[in-house]
Amino acid sequence: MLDDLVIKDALKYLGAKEGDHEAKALLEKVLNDNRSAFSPRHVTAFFKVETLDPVITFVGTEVTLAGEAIRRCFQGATEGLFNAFTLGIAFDKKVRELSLTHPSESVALNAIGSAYAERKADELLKVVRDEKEKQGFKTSFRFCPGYGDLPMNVNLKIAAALNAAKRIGLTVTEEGLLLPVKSIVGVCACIPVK
Amino acid sequence: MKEFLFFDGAMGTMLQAHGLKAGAFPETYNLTHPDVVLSIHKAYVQAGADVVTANTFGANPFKMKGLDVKEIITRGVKIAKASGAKKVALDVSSHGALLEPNGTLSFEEAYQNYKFIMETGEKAGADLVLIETMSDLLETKCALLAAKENTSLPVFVTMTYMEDGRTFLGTDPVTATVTLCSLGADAVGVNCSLGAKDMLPVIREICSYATCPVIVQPNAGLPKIKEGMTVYEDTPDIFSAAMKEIAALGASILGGCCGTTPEHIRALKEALKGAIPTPRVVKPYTAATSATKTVFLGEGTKVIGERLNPTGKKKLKAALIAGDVDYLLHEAIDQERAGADILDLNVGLPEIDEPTMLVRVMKEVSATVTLPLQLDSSDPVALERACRLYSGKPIINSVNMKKESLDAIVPIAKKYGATLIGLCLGETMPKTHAERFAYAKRLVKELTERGIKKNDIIIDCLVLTIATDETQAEETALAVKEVTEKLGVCTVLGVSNVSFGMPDRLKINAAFLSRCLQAGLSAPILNPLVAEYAEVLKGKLLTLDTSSYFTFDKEGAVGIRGMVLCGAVGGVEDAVKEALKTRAPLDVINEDFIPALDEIGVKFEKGEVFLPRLIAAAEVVKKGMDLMKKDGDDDASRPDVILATVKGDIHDIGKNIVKMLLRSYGYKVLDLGKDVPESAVVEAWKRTHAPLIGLSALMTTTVPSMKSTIDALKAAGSTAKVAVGGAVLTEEYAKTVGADFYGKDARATVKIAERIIQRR
Repeated sequence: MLDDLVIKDALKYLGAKEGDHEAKALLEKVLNDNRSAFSPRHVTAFFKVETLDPVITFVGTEVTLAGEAIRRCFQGATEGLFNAFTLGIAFDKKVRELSLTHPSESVALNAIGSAYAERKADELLKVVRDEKEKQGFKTSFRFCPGYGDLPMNVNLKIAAALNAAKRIGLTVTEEGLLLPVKSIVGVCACIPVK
Repeated sequence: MKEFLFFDGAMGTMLQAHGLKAGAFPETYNLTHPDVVLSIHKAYVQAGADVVTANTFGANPFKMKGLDVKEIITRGVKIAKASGAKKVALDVSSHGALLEPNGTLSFEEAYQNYKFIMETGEKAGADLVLIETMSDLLETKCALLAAKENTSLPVFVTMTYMEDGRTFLGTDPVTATVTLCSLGADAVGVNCSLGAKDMLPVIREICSYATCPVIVQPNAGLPKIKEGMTVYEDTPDIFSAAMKEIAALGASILGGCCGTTPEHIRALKEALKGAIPTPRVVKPYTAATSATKTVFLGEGTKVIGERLNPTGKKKLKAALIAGDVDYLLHEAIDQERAGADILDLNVGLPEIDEPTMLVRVMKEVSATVTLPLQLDSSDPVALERACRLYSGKPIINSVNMKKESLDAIVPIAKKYGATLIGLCLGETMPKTHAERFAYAKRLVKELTERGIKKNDIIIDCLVLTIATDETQAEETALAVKEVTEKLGVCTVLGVSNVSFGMPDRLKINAAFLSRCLQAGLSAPILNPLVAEYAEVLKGKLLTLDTSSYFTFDKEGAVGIRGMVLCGAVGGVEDAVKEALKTRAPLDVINEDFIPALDEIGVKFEKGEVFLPRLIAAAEVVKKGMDLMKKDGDDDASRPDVILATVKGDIHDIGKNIVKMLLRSYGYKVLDLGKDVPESAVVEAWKRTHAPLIGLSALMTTTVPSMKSTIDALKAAGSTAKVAVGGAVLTEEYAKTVGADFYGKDARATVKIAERIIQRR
């Protein structure tokens, strides 16, 4: 099931149509050939909202979320679910290797990696989210730095609060770029259901 | 170690309990809450910790921009010292950023940060350095070098492993242990990662290979999220029970990481009360590592891929000159897929800056394949730079018994913990197995006296072509057997050198490989893509029978000419004596010897006969000509040709073949020998005014010596024409170095001589 969704998304990333059998076959091949290069890991933590206006802050962290889009997302929220995911460094190495030997497979694997990271991160996050929803919360979609007007460098503080470098090997450059490349950092608003 | 050394437990999670915010720098508490930090240290001392770890884990100018990192480190160490602990460790960890090529942080920038941290920590009074929670072997090496090069403190190093037994960057505990021990770490081990119980397999491996004490600092179990908080659930009892098992494996420096408290350390001490560290016996091993793989030599046959070396490879040479590293990466991938265990890497070409190129290619190949590298260069600057930036324990190819080689190469191997190939070569070229063995014995003695561990030495018994001496294959194989059995060190051989100048090269190489493997060869250097070798490596036995190449058809050996053509030395003296009764010596030379040599020369050019036959023909001629010599013929004061193997190169087989053939054609040759300095060539020309000078070099690295020799000749006003030749030379190189002619082989050199010298 996950594979089907990943292939579907990857086709989109490649700009191919759903009926493009050749592209689909290539994507299926690289997904199956390179599974050993996938090491998905994730880390999550809940933090209580300290302030919602003018910026969102959380108790016990140094994270500050500023911007119109994130404020809308956090309307009524009492907690934030911080989350970080990485597909691991071996994946990056595999893409580089294929770029030398099989460039088309490298491109396809790159698309697969992006699609897989998104889908897998969602799948892992869902378990945590479901648990929270059982406790009477509604959780928002995963809001990532770079969406709307939330700057990329917020990645640094969220990753630090999650201790992501130590826990899952995810690092953030000064500019807020994530390494390994197929990594995701985000935050979900947890809003109590009245 | 006679006694256990107990470290403290966690600091970060303890500070969080005191209100430290998630994601904030715990080290800033050294300035803002020194009393809190001190109270935690004191609690650990009271619990029985011998060593407390200063609150400096993340204190790094890279992470803490805008903060006074020097003060944070200094205060951190001083607070720890005030706790009354027996020893204080300066705590050092990762930059939290990936080093090139995985990330963007350069080795040099990381080194400078670590240097600053180490110097500051030592100055503040730290007793030792603890480099911990590392994932990247190269960054760990960088920190270890910074500590070793800038402080006199002992350095303990631990890495963090995941459930799959590897760090986030893929390093396994054996690779980390072998590499870090070689680099001179004073203790190696593991911290953080998993709970103590789950760490047992990792620790078992570390204890099997660590040549220094083993340090273990686990978490109090795996981190779990409960009600939004990260918690560690192993109680002091669970922790200490598992630590007892860890101690039984041989770990002797024990402490805790995330989630552990003074209670955990107290329980640990209690559990090991009265116990002493379990003695460990580590079997000596010969190894090379990449960042993610260890190859042990001497355990089965290990193949060293030879294709990343420009000698004799036009495309690779062109790629290097053009800076097309992708071509080299393809070669690396192909060899890895073909089953190579280690890759030899040589980028020596006169046109390129070798230190820069070796580092560039080394980095890119390391980032692309998982195999350990054998850095192959005679340039100490290139080797030093590449060894420093290499993520792992490389093999250095090679050092020989010449003093200048020993002085230049050994310190590099020692400093960077490389495994070192000792080539059986010195002032002279060994011919017999006994001479090779004598060199090997001297090498092992000399290298160990200079501080290289015996098991870090591999001997190259030196393969010479059988084209010039049929016995060389067996002599080499016998040397391998003797070195293996009597010296107990591993061996390597550049297999394909055996057939240089021969027909059926693959067939000869494969049979020679088979013979050497039976003699105990540890690691052949060869092209792993060749199917013939693969079969031999799988166990196919072949017999090396070269007699057919050296037994010439004697049926045509009629008359002097026929004897030359057939290489039949036997009857030539009688035939010449008989001829001289009726003919003038010059007629015999011009009508018999020279046409026969020309004929065999043409066949050689066409590839119809090979080097052994050409040499045999020259031998026949020499024997015949000796009978016609007059006094003064060997007078070296009026040579036609001066020959020399240039400075820095001691390979003279090619030059000697040229000499032989020139003499067969009647030219007077003054042979200056090998490793000849520029001044000696200039001096010889000034003395003799020979019209032709022939310079030879086998190695790419000595081609510059040709240029300097030619420059020196020109500067001295020489009017002699200069011909150059040797395995790595090309028409283009000849022009680059300023030569007048390129002598592709001995036959071509005779043709050059014919153009400019009247034969005597």
